Amino acid sequence: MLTYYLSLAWQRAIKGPWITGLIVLTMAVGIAACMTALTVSRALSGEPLPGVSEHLYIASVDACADPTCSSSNRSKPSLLGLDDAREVVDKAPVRVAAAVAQAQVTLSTSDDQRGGVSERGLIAYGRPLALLGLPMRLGRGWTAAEEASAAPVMVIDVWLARQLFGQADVLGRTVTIGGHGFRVIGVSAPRTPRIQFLDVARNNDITGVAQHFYLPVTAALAAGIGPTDSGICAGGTSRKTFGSTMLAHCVWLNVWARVPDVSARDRYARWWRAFVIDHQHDGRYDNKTPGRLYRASRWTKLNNVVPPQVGMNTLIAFGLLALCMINVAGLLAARFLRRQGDIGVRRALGAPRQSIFAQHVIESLGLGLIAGLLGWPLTWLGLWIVRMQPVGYADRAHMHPATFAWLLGMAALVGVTVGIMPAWRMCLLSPALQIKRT
Amino acid sequence: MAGSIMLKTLRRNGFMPLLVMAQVIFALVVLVNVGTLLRQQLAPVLADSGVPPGQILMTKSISADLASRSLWKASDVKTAEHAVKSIPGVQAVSVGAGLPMMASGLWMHLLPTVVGSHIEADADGFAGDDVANALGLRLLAGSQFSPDQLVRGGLDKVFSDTRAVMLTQSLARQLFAHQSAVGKRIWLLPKKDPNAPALRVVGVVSNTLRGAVVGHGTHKTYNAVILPYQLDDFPQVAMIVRATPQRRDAVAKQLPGVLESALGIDKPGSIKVMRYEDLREHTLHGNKVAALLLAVVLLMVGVVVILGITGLSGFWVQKRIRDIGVRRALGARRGDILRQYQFENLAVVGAGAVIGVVLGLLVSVWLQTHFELAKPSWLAWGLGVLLMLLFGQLAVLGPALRASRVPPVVATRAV
Repeated sequence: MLTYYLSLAWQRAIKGPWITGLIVLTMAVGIAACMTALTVSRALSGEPLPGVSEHLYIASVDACADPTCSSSNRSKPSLLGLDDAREVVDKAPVRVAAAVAQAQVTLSTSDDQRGGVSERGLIAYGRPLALLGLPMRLGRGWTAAEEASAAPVMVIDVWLARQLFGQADVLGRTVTIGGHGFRVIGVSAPRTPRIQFLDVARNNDITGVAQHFYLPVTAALAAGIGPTDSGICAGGTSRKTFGSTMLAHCVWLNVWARVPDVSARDRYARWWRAFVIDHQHDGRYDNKTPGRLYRASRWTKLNNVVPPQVGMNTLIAFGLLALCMINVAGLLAARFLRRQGDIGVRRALGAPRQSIFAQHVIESLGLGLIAGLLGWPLTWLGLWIVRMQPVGYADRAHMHPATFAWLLGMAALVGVTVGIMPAWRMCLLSPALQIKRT
Repeated sequence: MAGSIMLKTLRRNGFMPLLVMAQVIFALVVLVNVGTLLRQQLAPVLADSGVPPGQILMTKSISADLASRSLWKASDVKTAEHAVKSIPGVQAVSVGAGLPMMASGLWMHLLPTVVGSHIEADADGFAGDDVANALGLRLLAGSQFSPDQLVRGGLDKVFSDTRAVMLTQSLARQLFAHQSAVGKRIWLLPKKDPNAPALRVVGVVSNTLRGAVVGHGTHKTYNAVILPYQLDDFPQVAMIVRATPQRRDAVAKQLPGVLESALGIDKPGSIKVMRYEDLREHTLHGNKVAALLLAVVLLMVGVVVILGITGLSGFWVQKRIRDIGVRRALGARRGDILRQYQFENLAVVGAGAVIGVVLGLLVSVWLQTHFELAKPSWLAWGLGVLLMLLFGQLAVLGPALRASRVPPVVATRAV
């Protein structure tokens, strides 16, 4: 039966090649527009750091209640002062937590002729490497004792090790930052999050920024290394102080914790709420915003890390597809109704309504699949145009084998959907009248 | 033939007209919203830059590292400015931070707020010792900064110590409507404390494009705050230079060398000088690509709608070919048939357009709450409806002409 319906469809297709081409092309354009937009939006959604960020939660609160605090409109309130951050990391009922702030510093080695490299990394309290699930290639992270004694140690990633020393085996060597030497005690694997989630207040990037080094906070501050900007500060000082260590009146660190399951999360959330309420009572925290925890992926959404234009483009693409589908449905109806005489004969000869319906749906499904094949190069073209844009996510606009499966699935869906209405119309025709008219 | 009879035919054969109507409704919703987006993207591309053409040069940010130092001092900046002023053809020079088109690599994004109110407007800050003059902006009201209003120090001082500002005309109007802005008090960012120190508006200058112009609503394109600032103890410096149009290219050639020797930089070629127009071209490249994409979408919507209506009308004519023959045999002229199909199309498309506008308004309200989309103007809706009617007439012309050529003798044949 299927082959018979397909051969009927084929005959109709070669009889009117222009209209067939128009139907297929219209569908292909709609499908390609959608696939392009979906490829981009898929690349920019989901987990920032798959396998790890599902379990990462940021503690959010407005920790600067002082009326002289400069307010920040860039991100949701989440910054804490150093003492509070330490207390949370140490006392919260979670196993792995760290307070982090991004710094941009110039790093050099003793035998460096080029004047060093300027890179981004994290100033941290607690266990940032365990938090981010970073495998160590060599050495170890710093211990609590080293942190407390402000020992000048640091962890760098393999990429930075190669940049600075030309090799990965750099344990025990010294990196100079701002005239102070730091001993490398660990070399970690390099890792770049898919989407930015760490320190969104200090990053405008959409795709993740690689953090190339990790410095214990006490040692960093002692050596005059501060965060990229000083966050939000009381006393009318600005939030645009770069690399400063005058942070006594500032909130400038994010506390992230790794929470394995829901019950652990609830425990941590209760503890955090109570902690915040305590500080709201003593007037240090703003009492309009309750203490909350946000999962990493939720946090990137809340802070609009991915620009709304991406969603807008997807919407436009779906609008275009819908328009193409309405259009094709009309064209198909016209095409089917032209041969209503034949259908009348088939009905009179005993074909049930179901088979008339099936015949037409199969025809439009076939056309949809051809449109899908045609949509493949068109999608490629669309992604090429997206890559032409000077946007931060341009390099993500690529086709994957999975895209092809998606595309065919979508083409089949579109083919069947546009066929339903015209096919329904065809099987409503009464056989006798049609024969009489012919 | 009377219109009422045509409408009756339409009602009886409702299937095809309904499909045409659905297409028109949907196309109008897409067309007007995408068109508005396109206008939003193109606004900064088409907008007048507000600076005198062919006169402005800007340097990229010059890092103190280049002179093997950690910070620039006010005296370095003074020396550099002095050296630049002595180049023949230079009319004005200013050091700056947060300059138009992000030339300095630094974006000073502010939310100027009227003191004691919730009136605020998104704007960029341009800080420097003579920015307005170097950009060739005209003073429209109030006065220039007096020397004692200059804030000296690192960039953080701009936020803490500035007490006098100038606003562009566009920003002044958004903050103070039709009142004069001169003498009014603002904050650079919203403050929790109503007694936080305020800044006095001393002057209003002509509009100029802001620093980061991508993705803003059209009304924000010109929002800028001019801040009086003498850079000191800061690691980055950028310069704006205004020269006579005849001498600008010569000045552009000399400028890097002059600055390098004045600032003690011994790495030739480390200072990049760009013409304002080139910088603007570069910054707005993204808007142009986005606009191109949207224009392609608009074009596709147009083509799809025209082809769709043509296909459906063609079918409808074919289906009623016998009726047409009968009408011709009964004395209808070719013009009558032609006009009938044109009128039918007008009625169907018109009805679709009305529904489309209503639906489109709802969609655009939703879009405005979820995305940074400006409200489509009434003109856009009018234009959309007109375009739809035009598309419809264009699409139906072929089938209608074919219908009018049906000979009366068809009435006697079985089709």
